[in-house]
Amino acid sequence: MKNIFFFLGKGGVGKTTLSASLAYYLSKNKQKTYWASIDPAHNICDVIGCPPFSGAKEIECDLLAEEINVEHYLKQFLKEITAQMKTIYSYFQIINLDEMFEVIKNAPGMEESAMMHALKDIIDRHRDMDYLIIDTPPTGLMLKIFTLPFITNIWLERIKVWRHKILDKRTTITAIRGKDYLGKGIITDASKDKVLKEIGVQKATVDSLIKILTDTKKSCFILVLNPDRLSLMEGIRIKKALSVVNIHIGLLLMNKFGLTPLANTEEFNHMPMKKVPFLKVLDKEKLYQLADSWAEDIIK
Amino acid sequence: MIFLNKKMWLNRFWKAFCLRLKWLGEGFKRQSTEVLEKELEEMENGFALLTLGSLVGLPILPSYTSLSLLPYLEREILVMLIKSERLDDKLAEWADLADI
Repeated sequence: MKNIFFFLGKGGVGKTTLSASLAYYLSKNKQKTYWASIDPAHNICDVIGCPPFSGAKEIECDLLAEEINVEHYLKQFLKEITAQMKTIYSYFQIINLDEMFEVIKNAPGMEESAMMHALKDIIDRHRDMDYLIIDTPPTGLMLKIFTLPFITNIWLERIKVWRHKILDKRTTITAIRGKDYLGKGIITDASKDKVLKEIGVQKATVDSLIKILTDTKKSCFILVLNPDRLSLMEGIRIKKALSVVNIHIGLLLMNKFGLTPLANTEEFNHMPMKKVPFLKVLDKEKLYQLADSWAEDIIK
Repeated sequence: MIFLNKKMWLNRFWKAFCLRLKWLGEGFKRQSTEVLEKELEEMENGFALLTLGSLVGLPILPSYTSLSLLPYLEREILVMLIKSERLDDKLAEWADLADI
């Protein structure tokens, strides 16, 4: 049974609206549902009509909603690293690491990595829920987040092998020249090496995420499109980019159907597609009705 | 007396022989590990550049992973700094390794 749903698509196609409709639909059917947004430009609070909130909030019976605060994850991570650095590198006590990390925090790739870890964390924390619905940022950032575990995994594999070679060489040298020859406290044993241990921790995180993202029995990627050429073109690019890392689109939702004439969908002809009609007025109370025609099919 | 002197001489000769043999062994040991040590230094330097490269402008390993490993790479950072100091005199390093 599929129980994790990711909503993808071009900016403004209606990912949040349709993820909301599925979340309300499931909770109306007495399913414990967790609905989260990892888009930095959150608008869950706009959909449900309340002021911005932090942490998971019960917005309906059986429905928890959360806007993931990436900044918080990043701050927490840097705080932990700073504390570790201060205990290990004694000479850093006099340097203001906080200022240095202010710069690192904004380094390329940090936000995506923090989101990747946030994604893993929210999925782990809400394993007891019946369904998890994840609203993602628009294409550019979304692709970076979902491909990052695969890229990181390749790097971790390589540096793990490299590290083992270093430890083998250290073992040989110290066996010939004496235990402390390379310096006091230099680790030669793989089971005691903190670098290998950290690589192992990182690898467990990305392996677990890769397993979740590629498990078509548990996870479903829903691509939201509009009946216009631009969103279709971007949809094709999303499908191709994700298939490279073995992530497959499980369902196409053609949102705002009827608003414009349907563009050519040849690329998606073989894929299941559901049409969600365009409504002029979207009432929060009737939001769940948008999922009426497709929700049952995807949770089966 | 002559016999004793001969015995003493043999004893001294044996000790000197053993000592030289030990020196020879030490020499072989040093020679055999010198190449290994250089290899190790290169690998540690490479590991530091690979994992921390993104912090010095090389667009490689994701910064998040680099930062996670940073607290444990004190030795590699030192090796990398020493290596970069010696970069302008690589020839001397190789000559030293080849015993020239």
